[in-house]
Amino acid sequence: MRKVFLLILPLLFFFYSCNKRINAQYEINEQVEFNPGFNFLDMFCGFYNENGKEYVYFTDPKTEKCIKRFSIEGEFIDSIPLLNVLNDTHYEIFQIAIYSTDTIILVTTPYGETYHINHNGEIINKLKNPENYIEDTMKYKMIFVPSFYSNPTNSSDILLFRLWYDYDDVVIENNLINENISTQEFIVCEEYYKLPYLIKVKGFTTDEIKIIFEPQKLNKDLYGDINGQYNGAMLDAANNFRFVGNDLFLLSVNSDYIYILDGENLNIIDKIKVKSDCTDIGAEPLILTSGEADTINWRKYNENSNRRFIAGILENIFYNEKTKEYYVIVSHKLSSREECESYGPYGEYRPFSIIIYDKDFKHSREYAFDGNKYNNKVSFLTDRGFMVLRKNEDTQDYGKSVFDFVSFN
Amino acid sequence: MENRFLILLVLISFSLLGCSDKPKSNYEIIKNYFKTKHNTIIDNNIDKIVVITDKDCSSCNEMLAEFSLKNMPEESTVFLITADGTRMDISPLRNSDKKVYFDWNIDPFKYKILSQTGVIILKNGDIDTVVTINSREIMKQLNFLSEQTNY
Repeated sequence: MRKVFLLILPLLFFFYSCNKRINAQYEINEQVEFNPGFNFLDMFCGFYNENGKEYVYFTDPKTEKCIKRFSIEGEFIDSIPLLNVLNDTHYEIFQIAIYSTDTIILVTTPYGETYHINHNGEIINKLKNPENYIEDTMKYKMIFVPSFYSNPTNSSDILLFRLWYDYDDVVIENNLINENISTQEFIVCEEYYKLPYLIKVKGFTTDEIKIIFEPQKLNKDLYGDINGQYNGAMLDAANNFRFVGNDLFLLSVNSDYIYILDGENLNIIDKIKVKSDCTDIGAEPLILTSGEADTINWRKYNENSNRRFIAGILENIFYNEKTKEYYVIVSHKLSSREECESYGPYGEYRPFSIIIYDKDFKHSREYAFDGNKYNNKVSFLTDRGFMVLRKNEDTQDYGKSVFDFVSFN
Repeated sequence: MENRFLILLVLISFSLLGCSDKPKSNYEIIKNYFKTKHNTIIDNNIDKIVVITDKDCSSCNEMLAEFSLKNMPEESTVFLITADGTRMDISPLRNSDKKVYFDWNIDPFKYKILSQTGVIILKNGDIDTVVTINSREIMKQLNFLSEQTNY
């Protein structure tokens, strides 16, 4: 009897401590259904507010070749054709942000062409290639890769890009590879990490374009810098950005820190360590051989992809103006690629937490969401509350999307 | 009495074991899938099943779709499209009047044989060859399929 008691005691202790970790409960207030009639990639669904009214949009640049706009209540407003842009560009539309009815921004990949279109799909302005604005003194040819997420920033005249190194027509970038490379190898350069991590293009909707470089500190911070030696790889991905006032909050897959940058000059002001009771955070960067330029072959590329798929990752950050709180979304670490795929082909519906911080990042509470319920990458903070895409369980419901509005105690 | 009971038990066990399913061949899995999911019989007239997914190389998936729509005979080819149009343009497949079936919720674990972009070549009521498309060899693979279709 005593033995049984001794066995049960630690078990009870374990369960108690597990329950304590998830220290807060969320509530689902309402559901709203949207029917764009097509499926969409995460980055092709967005949200914006114009004159106090909130809207949700869905984009299908491949098959339907249009954007469909809805009121936040789910009422269809209009369809914006993308044919003008698709006929003009040789590249793929990779990102879209709507700021108002006639300020619709499309960014292509891999060369960062930026189009400004109106609600009829007519091209108002375009920034053909931001690379042209780089000074000749920059040693390496670089390409601009937009952020993975739906809104490049939350300001209608600022775009942020990651810089990638382009060598001998071999393009290295997030998840997109040049499929015609005969050797199937990606050439990288040890000097890469000394380059700026991101740049800001300001005023692209006007004729006065200004480009500001991050002062070459973030790469070193993210990948490590031992005695000035190259100490990591650059196949990181899924970084996300958000402006709050003049501060730029930057998230990287390789770090458990939120970097806060001065929005004007891109200097690092501060960094905040995020701690979750549910997961470790940050995918270990792929370490390449120090020394000469190296190549990344398929094996290494896949190895790195796997790390990203299973690591706990800082996904997004929102700021709630009303409560003066930050909402940080963190995907939970998984045990294997197979486990990841059990939450959708790309792990879209994996478990995650929302950690809510006060304005000084001093106090926090964490809300854990089970897997196979929500896609945290398709979520927005609206006046009606936090909205997140629900997994569509009905196989007959192709092209319909249901969002839950969630509130936090 | 006890012996009789034992014999009866053995016989029942045997008959139950005999009833248990043999593992199905991939060909049977495919036939059952099309019958139950799409109400379509895969008989000896069908010699190719073209599977278009949205996995891996999207331009390869598009290339195979275009090649197959153009070159493979309608009466002997069945298309299964699991790509949902987000990573590749599926409108030519949607608009085709060939035998094109869509399934955006296929279970990749249950139907592993149908989970990758490629062509399943059937012969004499069985699977003859499976060509799984990959970006490194796609041109070679399309040439091979060309020879198979005698074009």
